[in-house]
Amino acid sequence: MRLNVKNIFLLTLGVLCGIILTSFILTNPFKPTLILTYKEFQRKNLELNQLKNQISILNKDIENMQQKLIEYQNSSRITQNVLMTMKNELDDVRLFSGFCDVEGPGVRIIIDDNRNYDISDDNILDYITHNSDILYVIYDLKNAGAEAISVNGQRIISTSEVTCEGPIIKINNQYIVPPFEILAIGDPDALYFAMTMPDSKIKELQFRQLYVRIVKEKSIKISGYNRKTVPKYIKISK
Amino acid sequence: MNNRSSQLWIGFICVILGFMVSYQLRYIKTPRYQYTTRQFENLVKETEDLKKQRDELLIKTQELQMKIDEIEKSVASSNKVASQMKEELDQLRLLSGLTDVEGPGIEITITPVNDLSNKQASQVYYKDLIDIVNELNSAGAEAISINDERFVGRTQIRQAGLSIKINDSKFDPTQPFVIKAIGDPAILEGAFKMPDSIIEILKKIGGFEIKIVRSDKIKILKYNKNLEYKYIQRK
Repeated sequence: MRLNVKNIFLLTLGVLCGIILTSFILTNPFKPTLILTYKEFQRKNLELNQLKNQISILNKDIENMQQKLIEYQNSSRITQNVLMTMKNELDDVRLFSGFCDVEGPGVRIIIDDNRNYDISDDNILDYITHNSDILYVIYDLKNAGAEAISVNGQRIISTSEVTCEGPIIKINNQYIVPPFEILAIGDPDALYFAMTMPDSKIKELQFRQLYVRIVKEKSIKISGYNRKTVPKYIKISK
Repeated sequence: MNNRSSQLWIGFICVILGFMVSYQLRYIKTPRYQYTTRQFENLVKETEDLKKQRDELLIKTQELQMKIDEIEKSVASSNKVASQMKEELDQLRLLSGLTDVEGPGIEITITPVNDLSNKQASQVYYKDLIDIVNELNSAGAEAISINDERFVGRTQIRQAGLSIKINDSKFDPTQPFVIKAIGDPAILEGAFKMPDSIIEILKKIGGFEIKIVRSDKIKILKYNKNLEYKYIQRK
């Protein structure tokens, strides 16, 4: 076989090809791998976050309990001490649960439907306060740091719902009708500022020509959640 | 000999070579896949470690709780005021989300699907979560958690930059959200069957994999943050 330029060229190409191919295989070794899908990764990640959450809860608990135990064990009058601790805890929990009357500075918001409409107006639904409007105003307030909120006397607690029942809105399973008076206790300036932000729900309501009034107040009284609730489904887990 | 065919061969090999070189270069240049196998292995290992740690802590809390209960019970048995207070405390804690609870209910998993078939990035919005919580509450849920963040009276659900903040914990909106609720499973699930419900709307928009599972034993963790009250006072 004669070696001409063409053959040599072909040979070098072949060698180069081989080198690159092997380098390829070397950089990507075929080790036994788990088949990793994005979904699986998401699931694992979620599990990890949940575990971290649980651990942080447990660490906090342990710290609290150890302190409590030390206090109990070191006190000479144990009954007194236990009673005091329980009383303090009860006060905290009452505040936290929203079952007691509270007062403090905050804002008062009045929202009413727009009644100056023409019956043939296409935007008539815009002139009505919907349950979602109230819901998002509540969350705007909560997200701005409101510590207690009530709508027409209904205190917002963890199980409060805001639903649409045809022409009427229901909160805490009680009917409420316009005008809506939303009370919130928190930093009055912060709450007022949050309500007047361009992307707040209140701004949208004003744009839809509903009647809206926001007043900062030095002292607002909000009554507690007043209906007795007996849990049917939840049980303390061991 | 067939001069043409050998030229074709050379051309063919050149093409392959070019492809491989460019592929190799690209492979080196681009940042590695976001999730490599090694990262995943670390994830699995970390999960295992944390599980062990959690179990140890769990045992420790149970021991401490037993000791405290013993002392409080002994006081409560001899003191009427104490026993009343303990009863009210337990009741309020259960209602307001300060205890781990379990019971029948549903678990909703919303997984944003971000693969090649999507034109737009799919993500959960905080308002979707607010709507879901509201619908669960209107269906009579007694306890709700989102990604193990217990929903309590003051729970904030809001956009914070690119993430969603729930109870001041940050969550990536492109990752799955698991919402658990305890109540009548049939009613809770039924609340999302209405054509206008938030779950149906999300299904219509597309880009989500939504699973609702009924269960007799849903476990919901308690609220885990310290809340400060600066403005409200008890009357």
